[in-house]
Amino acid sequence: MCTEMNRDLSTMGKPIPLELDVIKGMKFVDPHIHMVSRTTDDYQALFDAGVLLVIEPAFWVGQPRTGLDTFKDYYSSLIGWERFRASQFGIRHFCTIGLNSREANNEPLAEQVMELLPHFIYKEGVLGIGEIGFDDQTAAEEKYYRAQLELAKEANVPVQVHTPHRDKTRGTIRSMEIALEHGLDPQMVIIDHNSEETVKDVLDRGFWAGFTIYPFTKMGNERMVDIVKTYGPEKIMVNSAADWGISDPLAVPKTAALMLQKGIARESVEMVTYSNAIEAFAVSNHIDLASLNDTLQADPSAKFEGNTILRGGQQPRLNKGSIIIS
Amino acid sequence: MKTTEKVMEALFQRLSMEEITYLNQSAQQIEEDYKKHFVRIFSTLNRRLSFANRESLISLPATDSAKLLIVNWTVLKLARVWLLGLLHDEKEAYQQFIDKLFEYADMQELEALYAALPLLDYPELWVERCKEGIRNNIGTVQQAVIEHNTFSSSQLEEEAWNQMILKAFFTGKNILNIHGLFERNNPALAAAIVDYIYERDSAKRDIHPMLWVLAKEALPERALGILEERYAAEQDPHNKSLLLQALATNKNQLSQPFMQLHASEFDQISPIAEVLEAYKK
Ligand SMILES: [Zn+2]
Repeated sequence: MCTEMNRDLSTMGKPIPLELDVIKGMKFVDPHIHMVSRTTDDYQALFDAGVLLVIEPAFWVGQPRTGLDTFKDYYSSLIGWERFRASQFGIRHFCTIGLNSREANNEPLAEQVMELLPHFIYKEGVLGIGEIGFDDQTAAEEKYYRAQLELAKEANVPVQVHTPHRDKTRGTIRSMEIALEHGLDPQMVIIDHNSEETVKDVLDRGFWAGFTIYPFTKMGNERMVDIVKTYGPEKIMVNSAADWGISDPLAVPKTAALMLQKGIARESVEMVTYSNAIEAFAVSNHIDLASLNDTLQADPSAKFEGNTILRGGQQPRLNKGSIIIS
Repeated sequence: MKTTEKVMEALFQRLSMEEITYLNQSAQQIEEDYKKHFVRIFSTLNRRLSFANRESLISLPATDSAKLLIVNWTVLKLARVWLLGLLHDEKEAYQQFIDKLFEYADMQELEALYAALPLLDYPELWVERCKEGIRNNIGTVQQAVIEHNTFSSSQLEEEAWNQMILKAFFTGKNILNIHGLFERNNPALAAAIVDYIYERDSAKRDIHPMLWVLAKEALPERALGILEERYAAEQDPHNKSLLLQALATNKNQLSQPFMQLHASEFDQISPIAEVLEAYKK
């Protein structure tokens, strides 16, 4: 639900050759990526670049859903098939479950989805509620945003908040004010899709600030470098929000590489591309973080024997340079 | 001692006092009113066990677990299966309740639910469910139904059984972990295996050695020709011994040139049980 095509080529910056060597041995989290829309190539590229853990917020799949069962099956796939698919590539897959803002506008269906959510939010692999919030900033969006904040408060889980493309600053501030009104701890709320215009308001209020590095329509990563230089690494995290639109699943490792090249300290880069997301989503309640290091250090060609260490590389690689498929 | 009691004993040996207390309380609540408590207890169990415990592996001797074959289960899975064993009700309510558990299950819950099939009341109710588990696309879930599970061998009709065996080959399962593999071998399965062998051969891909063992009583001439070629090319000694078993069954139909080269290899053939044991390791 993150695309909105209005290309402005002047914002794209000059190309810098892809230099991922500087980030060798680093591990990353992409705290916002829609893997159901991505291919196995992306999984292999993510693993190769050190992205060992992904968080997939439930979102709008591009085509409006017309029935409850398609919601249910979608949520089931986030805790089932997609999670398994990721594990085959050595990647830990987590999700947040929620009713997205766009589909909150179909009120009769939204009512039913709200009854469905409690069945899913405690499942293995579910870190919290997301992505919820405003899109057109309608009354219906507000109603279900509030209802889901209550659900998150009751379950004591983090919330991942989508902020609108249009009338963004007002929508972002409104999202935070409503969360505070419902008594949520800003430490438990990730305000996503920030820009230069919204970052200060978010940090000043003590919320986590997510930045989506998404070509053409959201942040470019050169701008991201400036933001980290200005505001420091505290409470800031980057994500790709890669989905069915033209997006870049390697946005997190690429941004880490660019930050290092532009002189940002390694510890700061680690916070923005790994540890802040781990802390914000309380990932350590769900897995032993040491197992991520095991994955990082494991021999990818070692045979996978059904133990819990994910090694990656268990799936065969296509030879992309060949016209032969065998 | 009943299965559930044996399981409980083994399970509690692995857990901390705190975890045991929680499970005992939970069992009591389930007994009092399962409709009210079970889903919460079952679904959030992963958050109640320590990381080390929930992922550590446990195996029990087959004699102790009767219908359950507990081989390298996580403690979390065993605990969930034990909880499922505490559920009892009249048929319709029981089925409705268990069906809902399947419907909303996450990956680990599905593994536990399918592993628990042999333990559930009214086995006839779960045959369709078992087939659905075999069709599931998640490797670990397939594994819970296909490997070390007595439900499929005791409940599936031949057609579904054969589908399961083929699926096990297609998805790379450990074939010798299938309970009832040889007892339920049948001519229709052999025919399907032969078809699969031809397809693999045309594609110039590996042919799983256990395919030959399962179909050895029903290999047509073309299959025997492939078998001769594959045997000659096989490098792995354990695989080669399995292929030799299939060749021995068909000794009188083998080609002259093959026999001229390999006749002596039949002299010291080991009993199939030994060959399978060696292959397993
Ligand atoms: Zn999104």
